[in-house]
Amino acid sequence: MKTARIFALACAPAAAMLCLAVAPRPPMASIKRCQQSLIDARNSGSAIFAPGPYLQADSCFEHLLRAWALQNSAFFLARNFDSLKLLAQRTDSLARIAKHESVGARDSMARRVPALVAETEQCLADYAARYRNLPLADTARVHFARAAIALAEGKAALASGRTQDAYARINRAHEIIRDANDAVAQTLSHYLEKAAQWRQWVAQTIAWSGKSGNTAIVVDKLAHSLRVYSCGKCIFCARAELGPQWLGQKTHCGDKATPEGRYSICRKKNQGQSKYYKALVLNYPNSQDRIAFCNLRSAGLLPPGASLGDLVEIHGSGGRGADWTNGCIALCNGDMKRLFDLAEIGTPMAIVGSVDTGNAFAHTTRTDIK
Amino acid sequence: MSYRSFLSLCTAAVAAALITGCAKAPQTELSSAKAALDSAKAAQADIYVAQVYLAASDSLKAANVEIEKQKSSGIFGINYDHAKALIASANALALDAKAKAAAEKAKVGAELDSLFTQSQAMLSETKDLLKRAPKGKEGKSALNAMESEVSTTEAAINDAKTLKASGDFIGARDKVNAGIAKLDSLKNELNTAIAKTAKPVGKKKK
Repeated sequence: MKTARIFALACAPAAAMLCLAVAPRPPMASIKRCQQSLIDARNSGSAIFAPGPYLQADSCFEHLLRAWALQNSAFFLARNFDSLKLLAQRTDSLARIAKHESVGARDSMARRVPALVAETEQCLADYAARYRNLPLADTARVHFARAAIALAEGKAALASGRTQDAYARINRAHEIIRDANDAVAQTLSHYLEKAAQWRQWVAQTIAWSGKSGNTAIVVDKLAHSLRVYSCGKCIFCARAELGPQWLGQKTHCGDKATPEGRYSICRKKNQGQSKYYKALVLNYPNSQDRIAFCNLRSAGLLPPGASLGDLVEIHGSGGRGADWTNGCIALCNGDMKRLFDLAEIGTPMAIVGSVDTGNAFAHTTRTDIK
Repeated sequence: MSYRSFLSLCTAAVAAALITGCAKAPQTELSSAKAALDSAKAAQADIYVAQVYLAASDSLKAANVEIEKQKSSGIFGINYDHAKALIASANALALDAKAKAAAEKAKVGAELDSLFTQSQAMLSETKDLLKRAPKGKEGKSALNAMESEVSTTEAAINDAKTLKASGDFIGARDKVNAGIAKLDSLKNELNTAIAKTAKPVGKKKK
């Protein structure tokens, strides 16, 4: 009996030690590692630049803690931490992927953002220089303002280190202004579809001047220029101001458009006879204008009661830096005086959208003709 | 050793195991720290004082790991002292983050109010310039176009006010600053347009 007691006394601590020794232990090294990886991933900006893998890693770690708590609630000898090791490895792997992707995305964005800012600023500058003076719908200006505001917001976000936010805003600005520029380019391309006919009119007018040795006039609406030819050679060039809706053919009275076609001077109004210094009256409308007007009216494309109109002139009082006439062509008084002296009744003229269609977009800028 | 002594030793060992092994996890402190962290997040501490907020969050996560680690250490030797220290640190950091975020937000809010006042004044000035601009034929279309830009800018400033109302002070600040910059350029453009349109009118009078 005594021997049994001594044996029990010796075995009890041994059994306790054995139990502790064989009790399952959590994979602390793996857990510590994955915890650190998660912090590293977050510090590298993964939540912003690689949200997919980062959120997965974070969720995996939460799952690990729940699984750990569940095992801890069981009898200490019945615990099983195998799943914890797997979850820790998965968290670690996802966190490392998140960090890697985040660093890559952040570097790539850091490279792309300045280029995107420069490109957007260029698009805005192009728009301001090329298209702002075109008679476009007010929505074009709205797009311009929206893009400028979005760009400024993006630059502010960039300055305060919110790269992702900055990128989103600058990209939005870029999209707005690029679409606006594309829409204007499309409008211009559509307008330039008549280029072949315009070239023909200009060639015929200049050829007539060369053949007859007389004066002829060519007006280029896109370039806002009026050129006088004598014996087929350009002898005078002036800046022309047009009707505010000059981008397109004149269709009816009051549309503020300057007509396109071949005309001639039918009357000369000297100083005192014209409201605008001196004037050369064109034989608008010609037969083609009349046909076009009838076709549009038959198709119901004109406002009710619209008339064809007349009294399209080349007159003075120009040089205002804007397209302000009701469809006439305005020159500054000095240029008008010179033209008035060069032109005669019957002098032919061609008014076209653009002479140099290959370089038409360059003419949309308002560079003054010297 | 007598049988009685052996029994006493065993009882003491079981009692010690019960005392230490069944030590209660600091659940109340943990819940309190979690609530403090949630409250800091609600105060946008993760935006205004991100570093402090993240430190609090890290401490809380470390406390969770420490608690489970202690629970796993067997029936002997469970000690939550380190976990409690981590929770206390998380709690203090979360409270600090909340207070600092509130202060920072109040600062940005005051800045925003001043920016809104400035933008309103600039908007009135720009609208006044639009009204004062000569309504001659040559400037009409340009002025109409500028009017649409002023309206777009005004809409952006109103958007900034909505952002402020929804708590996005930083987004609102960026937007109102962008609006002010746009109004500034519009004012310059408008003054140029007015100067252009004013010229021929003067000539005509002569």
